[in-house]
Amino acid sequence: MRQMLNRKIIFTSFILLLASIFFMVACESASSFLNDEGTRKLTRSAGISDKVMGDASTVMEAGGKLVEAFESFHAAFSDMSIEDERALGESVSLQAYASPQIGAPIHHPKLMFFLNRMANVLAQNSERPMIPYHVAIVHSSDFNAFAAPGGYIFLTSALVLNLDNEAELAAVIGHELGHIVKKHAVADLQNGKAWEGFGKIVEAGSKVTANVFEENLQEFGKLVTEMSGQLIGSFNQYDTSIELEADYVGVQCALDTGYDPQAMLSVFEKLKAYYPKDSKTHPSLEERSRRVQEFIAQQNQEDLEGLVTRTGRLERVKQWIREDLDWQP
Amino acid sequence: MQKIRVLLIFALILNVSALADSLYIKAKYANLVNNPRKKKLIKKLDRGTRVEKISKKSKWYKISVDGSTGWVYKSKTSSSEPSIDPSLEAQGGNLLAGEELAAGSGLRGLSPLGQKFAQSRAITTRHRKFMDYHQSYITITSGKVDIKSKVTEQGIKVIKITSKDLDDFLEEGKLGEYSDAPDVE
Repeated sequence: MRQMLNRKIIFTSFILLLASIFFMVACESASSFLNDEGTRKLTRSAGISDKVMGDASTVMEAGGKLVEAFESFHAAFSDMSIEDERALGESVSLQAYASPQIGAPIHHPKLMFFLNRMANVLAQNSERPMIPYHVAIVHSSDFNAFAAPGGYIFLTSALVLNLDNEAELAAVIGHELGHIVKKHAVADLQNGKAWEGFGKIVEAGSKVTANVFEENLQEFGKLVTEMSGQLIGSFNQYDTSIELEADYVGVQCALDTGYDPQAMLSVFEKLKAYYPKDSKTHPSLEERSRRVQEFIAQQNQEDLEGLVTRTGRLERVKQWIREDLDWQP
Repeated sequence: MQKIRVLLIFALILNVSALADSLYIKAKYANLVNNPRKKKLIKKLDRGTRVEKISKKSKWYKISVDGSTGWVYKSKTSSSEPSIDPSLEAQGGNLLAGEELAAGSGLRGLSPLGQKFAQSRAITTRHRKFMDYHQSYITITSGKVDIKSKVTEQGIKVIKITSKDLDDFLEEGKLGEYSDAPDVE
């Protein structure tokens, strides 16, 4: 009897061992499936696919190959190498500096050192920590922040001077990091002409690279103008679903770095106060605020302890902005 | 028979616990320290490094990796293996490609495309300098990459931000791993 029991236990243990090995192998497969390039592409486009499809149906009615062209361009943009993405972002940023709404960057070594450390510390906790990020505060009376592809972030002086603590600055930078991490820059391009030319090139089988841009400089110029114009436009230019995705990256990076993510909510309040009540921005901000509150409510209590809102460093940043005259190099 | 039974059960437990306790470094790097409060650095762990979790104390994990045991800040880790940035895959899977590229821009300022675009749009020297300045603070944490020049073609000084500078930023602000960390034996 005892021997039978022993056999049963051994048999059960053996089956359990096999099951656990099978489970481990299954987990490995699932993990490699989730990390698979094809799956990642799907995930990457998930946040913006609705918008793309929305655009697509409108253009389809107009009857053209524009949909295919945009989709080709959008896919090519998602697949760009960091070198080409930076070259695109650099041109978009140059165009932004050349536009009348954007003034000189605040020319102050301590401010630049502070800001660039902050952005790169926050980016450490994003899905894209391996590329360097560059941030500057530019003289402008607009209440705005925007990001160009490849890691370039702009904050206006009016926006930073209106912030109350370092956690709010982290929320704003984190949100802009979100646009770069999720590659949102082409998601909302409204002007078909801007990308039509490149869509045709992609259709012909070549990839969109910096070289293709160089060879088609006129088309590239249109694209850059469209992209920078859209970024400079206003703080809330993108579709709400895209802004929500960037908010999520922003609060996650802020929280993981040690900032209180509640600061995102007070930034929204400032935006509401800045924009007129009848603008489309208000309902969108209500929705974004609700979603950020939900995100915070889902966190473990332990993770919300010991977070930082103020350090006293933002006051120095504001002082450096106020002291800075328009840089005339 | 008794021995085999014990062995099988032990193997089963070991199997399941090994599965449950593996973590990966998801940040660009993470500091493995002897003690969350005293923070004597044992070594830096790169993104993607697999570590074994031993225990947890508030926001810190005690882990072992390649024969070293120490503490790592929780938010630097993830339970799943982090994916490779597709924009770096295009550079032959070189994880330092982003840093190498930014370091190279210290030498030349604008990229060839940026220069052509600037010429085609008659973008002034002043605005080119603004752009050089915008990207003149370059984060290079690997220690294997260095900036090639201290000044761009437009005469803008290039500054390197190291991993120590990033850690100092957190420490000055008492942020994350530098907030009130537990003391352990």
